[in-house]
Amino acid sequence: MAAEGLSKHFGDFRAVHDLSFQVSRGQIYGFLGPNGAGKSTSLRMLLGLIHPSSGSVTMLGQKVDPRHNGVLGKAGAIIERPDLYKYLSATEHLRMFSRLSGIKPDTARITSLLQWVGLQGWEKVPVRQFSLGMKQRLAIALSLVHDPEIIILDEPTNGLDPQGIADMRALIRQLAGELGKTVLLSSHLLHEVEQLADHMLILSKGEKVVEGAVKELLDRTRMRVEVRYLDHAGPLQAIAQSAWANMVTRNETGLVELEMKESEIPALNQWLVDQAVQVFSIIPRQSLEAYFLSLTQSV
Amino acid sequence: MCLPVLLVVGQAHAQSEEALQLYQKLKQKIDQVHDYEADVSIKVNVHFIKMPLTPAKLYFKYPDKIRIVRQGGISVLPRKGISVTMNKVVPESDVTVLDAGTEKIGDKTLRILKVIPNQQVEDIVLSRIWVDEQQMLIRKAETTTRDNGTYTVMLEYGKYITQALPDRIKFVMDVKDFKLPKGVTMDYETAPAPPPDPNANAKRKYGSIEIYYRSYKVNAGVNDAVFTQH
Amino acid sequence: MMLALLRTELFKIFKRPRTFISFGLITAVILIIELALYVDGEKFLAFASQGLTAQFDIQGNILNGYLITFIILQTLLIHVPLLIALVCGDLLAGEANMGTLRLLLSKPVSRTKLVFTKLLAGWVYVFALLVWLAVAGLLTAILLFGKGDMMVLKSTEVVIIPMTDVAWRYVLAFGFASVAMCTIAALAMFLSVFGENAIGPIVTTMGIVVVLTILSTLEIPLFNTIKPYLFTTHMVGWKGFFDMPVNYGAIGFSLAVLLGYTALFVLATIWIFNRKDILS
Repeated sequence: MAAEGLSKHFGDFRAVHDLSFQVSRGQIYGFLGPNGAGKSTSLRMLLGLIHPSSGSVTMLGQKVDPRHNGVLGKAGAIIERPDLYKYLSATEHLRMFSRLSGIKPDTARITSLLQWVGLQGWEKVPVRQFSLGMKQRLAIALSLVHDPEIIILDEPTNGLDPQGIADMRALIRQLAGELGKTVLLSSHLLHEVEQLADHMLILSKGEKVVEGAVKELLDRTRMRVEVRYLDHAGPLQAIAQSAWANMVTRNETGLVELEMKESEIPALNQWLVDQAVQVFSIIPRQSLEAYFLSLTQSV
Repeated sequence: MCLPVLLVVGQAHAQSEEALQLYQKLKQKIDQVHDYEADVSIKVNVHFIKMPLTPAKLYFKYPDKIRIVRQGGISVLPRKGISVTMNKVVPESDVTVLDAGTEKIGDKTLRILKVIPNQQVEDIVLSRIWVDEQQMLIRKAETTTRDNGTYTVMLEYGKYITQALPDRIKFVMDVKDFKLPKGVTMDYETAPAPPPDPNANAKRKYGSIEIYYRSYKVNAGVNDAVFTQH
Repeated sequence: MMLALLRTELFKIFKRPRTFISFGLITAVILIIELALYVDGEKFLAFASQGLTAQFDIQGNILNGYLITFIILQTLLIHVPLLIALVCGDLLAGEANMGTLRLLLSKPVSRTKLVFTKLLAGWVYVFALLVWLAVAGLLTAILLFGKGDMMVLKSTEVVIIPMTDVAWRYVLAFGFASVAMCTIAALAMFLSVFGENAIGPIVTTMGIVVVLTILSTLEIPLFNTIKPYLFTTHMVGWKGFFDMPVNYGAIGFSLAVLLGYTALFVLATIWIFNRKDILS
C-alpha cells in the first residue's frame, strides 16, 4: 500500500499535506499522531471515502479512489468508532458484509470468527445490546470476514478494558505474524504503536514529521539520561562548563538530566569518572513519548 | 251578433268534445297494459354526466307502480316528479282536455291536446300531448310541473306499437351545471381550463335521458314485492 | 454484486420496525376511513352529490367498495408520500447518521451501484406498500360495502363506470400510483444525500410535496403557468383511468413527466454522491 503526495484541503483548512509513505507486505505499520493530526482523514483517503485534493493511493498495485475501489475487496478496515446496524445481530452483520465483499457467507467461518474475537454466545443478539468493547470486537470480525490481505485499524483498542486491549494486541500480532496480513494501525497512543508496529510515521498538523522503522527511530530518539551523584556542588559547575552543557535539561544538586544519544552514554560515564564525580546511578530513559511530544510541539 | 258568438262557442265545444273523446280513446289503449316487465337500456345525455349505455329492468304495474332495477348498478333517471311512463301524463282522474291544434313532426301531422288535471296528479300543472290520431299513439308530450319545471318526452314505437308501448322514450329537461370545489375533488386536469363564458349563467342548458325498450313481457303478471324489495 | 447489494438493502429496510409501522399506518387509515363512511357515508355522499340528486333520481348502490377505495386512494396525495419519505429519506442520511456509510463504502462497492440498489430497494418498499394499500383497501371495502357501479365526482362532472369495467382501471391506477410514489422515493433519496440525519430529508421531502401540491391545486392564474411542470400536478394522473373515455395521451404525458423527474433526481443523487467526501 502506498500514498504519494496525498493532500486534503477543506476550504482554507489544510487537513493533510503532501503525505507519502509505503507499507510493505506483512508489515505492521503504525500511523501515529495526536488528535486532529489528520490520521483519520488520511485513512479515509486510503479507503476512497474522501477525495484527495491531490496525490494518489495504491493498494496491491491498484489505484484507490472513490470511483475505483474494487481492490477494497482485499482490504478490511475499521475507521474511528465501530458504528454498526443496531437492529442487526452479529451473525447478520457478518453475513451481510461477506456478500458485500464478494464472497458467499460461510456459516462455519462466521462462527469461528466470532469465537476468535470473543463473541461466542452473542451471535443472534442485536448489536444495540452490545457494549463498546463488544462492538469493537465485532468490527474487527467484520474487517476480517472476507480474509483480506490488508487490514486498516483506526484506534482498535478504543473502549476496551485492559484484558480486551491485551487480547487486541495479541490479535494484531497474530494477524501479521501468523497469518501474514499487512496491518496499518493508527493510534494516538504511543505505547500501542511502539509495542506493535515495525514501521511507523508520525503525523502532526496534517504533515508527516518522521517516518521509519520503529527500532531506528528509537535509536535516533534523544534519550533522557538521569545521573545521580553524591550531593555536592562540584559536578554542577563542571558540567555547566563542559561540552555536555548544551545537553543538560535539568541540573540540581545531586541530580543532572541530559538529553543525548544512547551511544554517547559511555563517554558521559567516562567524563564523570575523570571528574571524580561519585555517581550513584546513570539511568537512560528511552522514550518515544518524549520524542513524539517534542516533535509535535516543534511543528 | 249572437250567432257568430254562438257558432264560435258551439264550434269550441264540439272541438273540446272531440278532444276529450280522442283523449279517452288514447287512455283506453294505454290502459290495456296492466303490467309489464321490460329489458331497457338507459342513455344519459347530460353535459356533466359521463355514463355508458346501462342495461336495466323496468317493472310497471297499473295504475302507478314503477321500478327500475340494476343489479348493483347505478341508474340515473329523470328526477322524481317526471313520469317515466305515460300513465301520469295521461292520468285517470278528472281532466280538462282542450284541442290545441295540430303540428307536423317529421312526416306526421299530430293533434295537440292540452290536458289539465282537475285534481292534483303529482305536481303536474299542465301537459301537452302530441297524438298520432291514425295510430292512436302519443308521439310527444310536454309537461309543466309545479316544482320541477317543464320537460319534454319524445316517443318512438316499433314492435309493440299495437299496445302503445314505445321502443324509445327520450326525456329532455333543463339542467344546471354541476359544481364541486376543486380543492375537495383534486381533479386530474388533462387540459387547461377554458376561459369562463360570461354568458354561461344566462344560457339555458338542456340534457336528455333516453330509455330504450329492448323487449317487453306484457300482462304476464308482476309481483308486488318487486316494487318494495331493495 | 448488484443482486447481493440489493438483497442487503432489502434486508436492512425490512428488518427495521419502522418499515412495518408504515404498513400498520396504512391499514389504520383504511379502516378509519371505511368506518367513518360506514357510519356517515350516506350523509357525506348526499352532501357531495346534491348538485346531481337535485336534478336526477339516482338509484343503486352508490356507496360501494369501488367508490370507497377511490376515496382511500385520495390519501395517496399526502399520507403515503410521508411514509415513503420516512424510509427513503433515511437511505443515505440514516447510514451517515449511524456511521455505517463509511463501513459500507470501505467495501468494494461502487457508489453508483450503491445509490441504484438503495433506490431499487426503496422502490420495492413503495411497491409493497401500494400492493398492501390495494389489497387491504379494495378487499375490505368490497367486503364491507359490496360492489357496484363506480361514481366519480369531479369538480364539474360526474363519471359513472359500470362495475364490470372497474377492475382493470384499478390495476392501471395502482401501477401509475407506484410510478408517482417512486418519484417521491427518488426525491427523498436525493435529499438524503445531503443530510447526516434522516429528519432533514424527510421533512424537506414532505415540505416540497405539500407546497407543490398546494400550488398544483390552487386556481390562481400566476400558478397556472408553472402547474404543468410540477410533478405534484401529475401525481394524480392515476385518476385519469377513472374517466370516460380514458385520456391515455394525458396520462402518458404525466407518466413521462414523473419518469423525467425521477431520472433527474437519480442522476443528481449519483453525481453528488460520487463527489461527496464521507466524513461521517
